[in-house]
This record gives sequence, C-alpha cells and structure tokens, in this order.
Amino acid sequence: MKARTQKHTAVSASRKVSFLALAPLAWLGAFLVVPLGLILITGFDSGLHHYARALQPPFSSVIWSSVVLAVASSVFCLGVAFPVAWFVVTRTPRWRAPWLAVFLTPFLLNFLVRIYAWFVLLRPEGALARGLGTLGFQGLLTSSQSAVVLGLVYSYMPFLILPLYAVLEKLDWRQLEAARDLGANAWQQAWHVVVPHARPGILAGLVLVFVPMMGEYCVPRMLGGGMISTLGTQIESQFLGSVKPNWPFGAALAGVLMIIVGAALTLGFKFGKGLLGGRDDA
Amino acid sequence: MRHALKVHVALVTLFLYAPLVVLVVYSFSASRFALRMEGFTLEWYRRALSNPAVYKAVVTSFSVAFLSAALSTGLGTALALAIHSLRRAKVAGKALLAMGAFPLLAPEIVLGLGLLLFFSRFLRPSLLLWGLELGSFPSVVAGHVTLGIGYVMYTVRARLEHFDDAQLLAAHDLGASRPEAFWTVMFPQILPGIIAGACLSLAVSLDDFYVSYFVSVGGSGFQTLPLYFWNLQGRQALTPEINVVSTLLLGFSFLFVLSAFVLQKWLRAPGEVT
Repeated sequence: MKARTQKHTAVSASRKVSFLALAPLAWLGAFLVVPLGLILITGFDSGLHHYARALQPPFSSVIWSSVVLAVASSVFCLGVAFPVAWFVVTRTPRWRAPWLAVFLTPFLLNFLVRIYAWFVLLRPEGALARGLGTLGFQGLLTSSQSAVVLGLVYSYMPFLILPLYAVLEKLDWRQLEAARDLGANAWQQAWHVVVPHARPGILAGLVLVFVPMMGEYCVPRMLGGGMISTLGTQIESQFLGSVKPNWPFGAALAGVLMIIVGAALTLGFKFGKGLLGGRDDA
Repeated sequence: MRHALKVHVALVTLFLYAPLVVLVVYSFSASRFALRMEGFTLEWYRRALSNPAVYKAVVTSFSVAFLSAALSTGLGTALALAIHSLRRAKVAGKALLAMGAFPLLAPEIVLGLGLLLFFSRFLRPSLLLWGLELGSFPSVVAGHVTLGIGYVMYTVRARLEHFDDAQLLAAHDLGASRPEAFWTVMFPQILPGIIAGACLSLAVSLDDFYVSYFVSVGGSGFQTLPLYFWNLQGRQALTPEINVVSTLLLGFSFLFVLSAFVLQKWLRAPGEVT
C-alpha cells in the first residue's frame, strides 16, 4: 500500500520536476559550470605549457609548501579541536549547547577581522611574535610560517569541531565502561574505543579544514609578513597582481589547486561516511 | 587527564577570545597608529561613524546580501524540491546535489576566479554588443547567489527528509488542487528550513570576501564592508579607525547571534523538535 502511494506521488511529482529544476539548473549552469569550465580551458590556452610551468621550480615548491602548510594546520587544528569536542560531549546535555556556543561564537565575526585581530597581536615587534619565533614549533617552521598556521587554525576550527562533536555525541558510553571493566586505562580507552568510533568525523573534519586552507589567500597575505607564498597568493597575483599578470598561467595554477582539492574531497567522501555529503545516506 | 582537559579548554577559550578583546581595547587607543596603545579616546569612533565611505559600504553590503539571499532562497528551495522528487532518478538527483554543494566544498577562490573569467571574457563583452554594461553590483550579487543556493538546498532538504509524501496524496483525496496541497500541506512544513537557509545565505553574503574581491575588479568604487575592510588593512599607515570598524563589525556579529537565537526560540512551535 505504502509503496503504491509513493509510486503514485512520485509520478505526479515528476511532471513538475522538469519545470522546478529548470531555474536553479540554468543558474548553476551559467554561474558555476561555465566559469569552472573556463578555468580549465584558459589553463590549456597554449597546450600543456602553463601546466608544465606550474609543476616546475619555483612553482612546484610553492605548491609543495602550500600542501605542507595546509596539512600541518589541519593536523594542528585536530589536536586543538578534538579535546574541545570531547569536553563538550562530556558535559551534561543541557550544558552542551551553551559550551558549543562559547567555542563557535567567535567564528561569526567576519574572517578578515579575525585574521586582522591576530595581525594586531602578532605584529613583528610584539612579544608574542618573538615568542612564537623562538618556540617556532621546535624549529620546524619559521615565525611567519607559524603565524600563518596559527591564523589558519583560528580561521577554520569550527569545521573540525562540528563533525567531531556530531560523531562523539553518538558514542556508546557502555563500550567505554566495558573497556574500563576489562582494565583499560584512559589512553587505551581513547585509542581503542573513542578514536575508532570517531574516525569518520576525524577524516571528514580534516578534509573540511584542509580544502579551504589550501585555497587561502588572506591569511598568508596578512600574517605571512610578505614571506609566505602559497597557491592562493600566487593565483591572486597572476590574476590581479600589478606586476605582469598572466591569466592562463593563473588558471593552470587554479587547475592544480582543483585537482589537489578534488583528491582530498574524494578521500573524504570515501572514508568520511556520509558526514561530508550531509544527510545523503540517512 | 581530567585536569589536562580543563587546562586545554581554558587555553583554547583564551586563544579564541584574546584577539577579539585586544581589538576592542585598541579601538579606544589615542595613538595615531593602529598597532599602538596609548591613552583613551572616542575620537576614532567619531571619525569612523562620520565617514561616508563606511556608510556606503554598509549600504552596499546589505543591499547585495538581501537581494542575493532572496534569489538564492528561491532557487535553493526549487533545487531541494527538484532533488526530492528525483529520488528515484539517482543520477540526475546526485548531479543536481553535487552542483549545489560544490560552492560549499570547494575553496571560494576557485569560484571567484571562474566568475572573474566568465564575466570579463564572456558575459561583459557579449552584453556590450547589446549596449548593456555589467557593473560590479549585479556581478557580485550573481556570485553570492551561487554561494547561497547550496546552503538553502541543505537546510530545505533536511526538512524534506521528515516529510511524508503520502500527506500530499491525502490532500488530493480531500479535494485540494496541486498548488493548494503544496501551499497548505508541504510548504508550512519546510518553511523553517527555508527561513534557516535564507538567514544562512544572508550571513554568507555579508561575510564573503573572495567572490566579491575577484568579481568586483575594475568596478569603480564598489565596496562591500569586507572589501572596505580589506582596503583599510592594505594601507601602509594603519590608523586606529580600522580597530573601530572591526569592533563595530564584532558588535554586529554578536547582535546577529542574539537575533538568530531569539528567532529560533520563536520559530520552534511547542512540542516540535527541530
């Protein structure tokens, strides 16, 4: 009975569909599909020349350092966000929403202003900048790189907190009790129970922060002190820079960015189990 | 371990709020330089608030935001409804879903670039043939609509998932025409999703930098608030005016959170779980 009624409505609805889908389809076709196609076409302006140039030094090292910067920031972001998400889910239910609000409210501020706030704090002569420089994440990063990592983490943390919160909230606490009864210590419980359960959220969250970090232009520009060149800053200067803009080459760099981002999203969709696709699988 | 967690949370809270507090404090600085704190004055507030460029940017931002939110709400709702009725045609539904979701997932710089190429190489030249000029305003609105459609699609789809299509059939059986059934049965149930989507797309438009930045290039004096802010910080000599503008934006955001909270309470009918 139910199947029949569903079929009936499906048939009656499908007549309206073509009409309904037409407007958004036309819009997205004109203002999304065509523009993306233009990026690809422009990049292949003179055959593979621009792509070949993009993949050779010095640009190959720019691409590489952008990936390193985005990966480092994503992992650092996870380290900051995971305990926060854990803290929120371990509150009593009525305190979870307020705590979540505490961690998410700053992100409603325009992101340029947020980065500028760090610019004020990290200004070169400031003590914080020197502290960061000497700490330098144990000498792995220069002080301008650390500043950019800090800015990226500060800009994109909610994209990690939210998926982590979503998976951790569904944790079966009896499993933790069972692990405790069987003699697991806190670290063993975390590693063998919590992390496997949270894996889809961790992966989805990592991809969700990695992708915008890859294309970021404002953070390296404002916090990098002119020392940091990323895919984002290169693309911008190839298009809008005052010195010798080169649109086809910029488009090829954007093509490289799209390939990297596409690979990350594919991985995320594969292992993030529905968290990236929204409620698609529900 | 428990103490370590509390210390971590305290540090993160400090990390999140300290820069904002510094910003507010610096906005009262009497120094001529943005990055120095000397004395206390409201002078920079007076200057910022009597600066016509600030007002112009605010008006531009809100005009763009309301117009693009209205358009993306309509288009996004239509998209969600289309995907909903295409559930059985998996490929077509998935393709529409992917198109709507793309601007949410891809870095914004990609969309900004694509639109820049599309407008300057294709749309502007062909419109010029007809004697029409495409200014920055409609271009930026078009970009923001494309960004907003996906958000509306998601919030409306979330409501449609809990909608039982048999209700429409029941309405038909009781003599309702198809539009009547839609407006009296389906529409009220997806309305919260539409409103949430409209608010989100409004916020996305107000917040957007990348699309506006790339698309408005060459537009004479066109500035949304984020663009105005970007130009302020790009100057060689930063005056405390930028701290004032930041603080005002901060105030706006908190007002926005507050009104969203109130709106949510008001929209949630008793007994209903949204």
